[in-house]
Amino acid sequence: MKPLAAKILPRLFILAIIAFLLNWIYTVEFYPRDLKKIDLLDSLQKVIPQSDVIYFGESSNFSFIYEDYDQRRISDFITDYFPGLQMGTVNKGALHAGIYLRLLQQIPPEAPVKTIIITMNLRSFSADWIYSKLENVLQRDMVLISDGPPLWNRFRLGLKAYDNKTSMQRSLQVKHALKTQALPVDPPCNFPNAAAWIETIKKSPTYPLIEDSVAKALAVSFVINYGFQIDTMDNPRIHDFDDIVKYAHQRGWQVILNILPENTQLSSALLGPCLKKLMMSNAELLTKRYESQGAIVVNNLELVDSSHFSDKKWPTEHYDEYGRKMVARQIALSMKNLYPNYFSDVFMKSNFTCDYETPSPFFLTLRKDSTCSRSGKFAERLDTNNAFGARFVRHYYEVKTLNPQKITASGWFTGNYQPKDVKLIISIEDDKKQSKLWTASVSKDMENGKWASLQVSATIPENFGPNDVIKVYFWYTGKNSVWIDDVNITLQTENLNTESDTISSLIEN
Amino acid sequence: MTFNSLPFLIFLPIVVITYYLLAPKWRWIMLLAASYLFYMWWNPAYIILILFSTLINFYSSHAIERHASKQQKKKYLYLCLITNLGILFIFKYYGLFTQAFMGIADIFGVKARLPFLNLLLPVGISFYTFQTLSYTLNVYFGKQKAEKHLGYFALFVTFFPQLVAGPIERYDRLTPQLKTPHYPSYENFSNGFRLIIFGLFIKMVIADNLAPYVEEIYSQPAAYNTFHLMAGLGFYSFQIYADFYGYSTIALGSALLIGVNLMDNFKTPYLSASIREFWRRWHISLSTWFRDYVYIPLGGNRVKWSRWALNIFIVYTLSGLWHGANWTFLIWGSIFGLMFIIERFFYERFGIISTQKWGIRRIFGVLITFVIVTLAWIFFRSSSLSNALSMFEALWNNTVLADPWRPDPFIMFWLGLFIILDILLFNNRFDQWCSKKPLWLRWTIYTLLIFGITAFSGIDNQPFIYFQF
Repeated sequence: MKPLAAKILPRLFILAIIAFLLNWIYTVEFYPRDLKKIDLLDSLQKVIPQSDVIYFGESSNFSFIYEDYDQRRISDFITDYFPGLQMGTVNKGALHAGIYLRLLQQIPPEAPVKTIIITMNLRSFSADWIYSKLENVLQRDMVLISDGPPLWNRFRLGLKAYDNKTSMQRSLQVKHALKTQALPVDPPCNFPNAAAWIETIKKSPTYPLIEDSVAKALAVSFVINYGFQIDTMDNPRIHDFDDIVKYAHQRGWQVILNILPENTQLSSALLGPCLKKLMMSNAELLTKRYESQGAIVVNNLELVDSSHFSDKKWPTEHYDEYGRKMVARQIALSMKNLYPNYFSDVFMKSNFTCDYETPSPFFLTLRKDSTCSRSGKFAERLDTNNAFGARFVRHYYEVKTLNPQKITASGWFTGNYQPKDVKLIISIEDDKKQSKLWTASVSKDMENGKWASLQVSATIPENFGPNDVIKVYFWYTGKNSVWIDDVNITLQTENLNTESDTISSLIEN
Repeated sequence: MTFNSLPFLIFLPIVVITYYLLAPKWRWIMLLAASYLFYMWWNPAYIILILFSTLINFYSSHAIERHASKQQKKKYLYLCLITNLGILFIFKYYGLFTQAFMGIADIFGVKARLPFLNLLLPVGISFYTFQTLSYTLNVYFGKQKAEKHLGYFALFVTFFPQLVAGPIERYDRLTPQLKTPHYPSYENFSNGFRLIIFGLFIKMVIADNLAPYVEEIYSQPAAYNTFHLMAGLGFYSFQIYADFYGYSTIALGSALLIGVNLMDNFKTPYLSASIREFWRRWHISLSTWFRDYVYIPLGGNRVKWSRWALNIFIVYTLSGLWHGANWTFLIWGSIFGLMFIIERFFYERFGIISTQKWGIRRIFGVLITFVIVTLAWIFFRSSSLSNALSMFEALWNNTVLADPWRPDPFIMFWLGLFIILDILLFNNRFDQWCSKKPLWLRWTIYTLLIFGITAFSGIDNQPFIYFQF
């Protein structure tokens, strides 16, 4: 044995030295490159140096439906309320508190971050999400930023030495949890656990309460996703959120926890009051727990009506434009006291400008072009490929608080055009897509190549209601290119102009 | 557990140390327990099948040996064959059978429906079934005495380094080694270590890194031009080679740590100058199994040319079917059968290519063989016949829809290194080749391999391809 040890031990020592050197080479040369390959870490690294506030979210943040006029994220809508405040977003599907915590730990002390907004998805406390097969990829992404030498972490990645389970193993974990996690028995809710509840749904001809081809499957999905009572001792998400709040306080950050809206209406329609009661009690538990720990908790559980959820066949937190804007508004209002000097209530905003230089979030489908401009460096080119230019869209729910009586739009244009081809349009559209139009067009020949402006005003109809939309846009029908710049829109709360709606065109240098 | 996993890297040293600490007479118990644990790591329920197979083969072989009458021997042989192949059929081929059966019934206008069995294919079932069958067949043919010790027989069936993906060992080669009291040997340790790091390197760095690129072109072949598709097909040739060769090399290395020499399963197959040579160098343990238990009983080459051709075709088609229950594997096997026959007719009868010495003719033969093998892999890799045909169609059409396909330069570097090593290893095994090199070169190679494994291994989940068989 002795001669063998004498041969092996020096070699093991040399191997240890080699490992040490290789770790140094890897850390210096290859580790930064590997970190960049992980999109989540890469996006965090990009937002850290320039963000006062960072929003951490999952698919609820970026899911949209095709019909949305404004397909931006919840976090983008929050930014609209705080012009001048630097806000960054880190999001990826299926993220949860365990991952958010690891990401937060990557923020260096010198970063300007003061506030973190963390998405608190009720579903992420369920066994179905805790043991989701999507967890493999998330855990994989976190290996490189684990404690320990970078080369060891990279080796672990190659060995798949992290929480990496097969779909079958994950599914068994979920089944076990559904059977063993007790539910409060409180008549008429008499299900001892989610598995028993699911069995009842599967066997009963009258349950769920809706007769629909997908109702049974949908009801089962609801129970799997929300049929649990949060166990504050054992639920890993509770520990993750506890750690997040504690860690944020250590770092001196404000924490805003955003309890996402759930489709409680649909759950009640399918399953009666039992599931909604559970969801509400879980949301209340979370609110109380984290408010007592010093976090700002925004409980949006019932904020969004069923019609604003984009997925109809399974429960998700994917909302249409209205839903996302409403969530953003609640968060923005909760941040108002933190950033009073930056806050500007979007629903009370009456003047909107698009100069193609500074960010113009209220103008959609905006395309900058630097060929010419009236002010600054950029304008927008209109031609056969881009006939409409940036669109201003305002829904009823966004202006009802302001209650405007009139809208006035103006904008500048130039190019080689035929007078009839350039129009500035205000359109008020109802839910049946019936539009009332006010149009300003060039009424006489103007000198091509000079900047000219159009202005149009419209009185907002008295029957302007919940499903109506105001739109303002340029419309160009010519062949040569024209450029538009400095578009301005004003919502007037009193109809100061006693004359009828005005349509005018001006010529200027 | 898989070889390229942290549990295995902990499990193996524990097994090796415990093995040498125990008195030789107890070692088989520890190895058997370790092998069962290794296998149950996937799914504990799988062990029932392996235990059943062990008992059936053990007692059948005893019954075969005990009975003097050929009729009685045959009875027990058939019992054993039906049980072993029946299990294999149910778990592996039942789906293909029902599909074919119902398809034929439909042609004749009969609405036949067979029950659908949603069974998960136990890992390595084809490997251990063939290994145990070889033992029972040898006992029947009188080439082998039946093992008296159930424990050693169970260890022969389940010896963990080669349990799930071979090499398919023979009883008379493996069991005597398992019974021999081995002592710690520096030579075995160093060779075992060399084989393990080389195997890990080719699996984790080459196969796992090529896999995503291969997946990309196979998932949408119509989106890539012919050049990219050809590069992708070439990548698959190296992926499957590195994957399986890597596994076998780690198996050899792991067994060597406890003094057991497993048979070589690969000998630089892509340097073969003919299909015949390719199959002498690729998955050698399976080729020799088919040679000994199918080809020779069918008459081998001591028959008329037409009968010989039929024998070859049967052997290769069966070998294709062994790999998987899909028409694609059947076609893949048949292609090799056909090419083998054509090759013998043209190459050997007219002496077109000399396959013995390196020269232009041999290099030409190597290139042609590589192209044939690479094109045949299309059937092996495609999940269905229509997918395989889509690949050929895309190769022909040469369209470009997707973004250019740009493999990472580091992966190309490691692939280049692997190809160079493979050429240098012609007719050599890595450990033996390495032991003859000067110290500085040996340690440079170790350092490079270790750096590759630790810093450049593939990160996506890529199970060993041959586990599915």
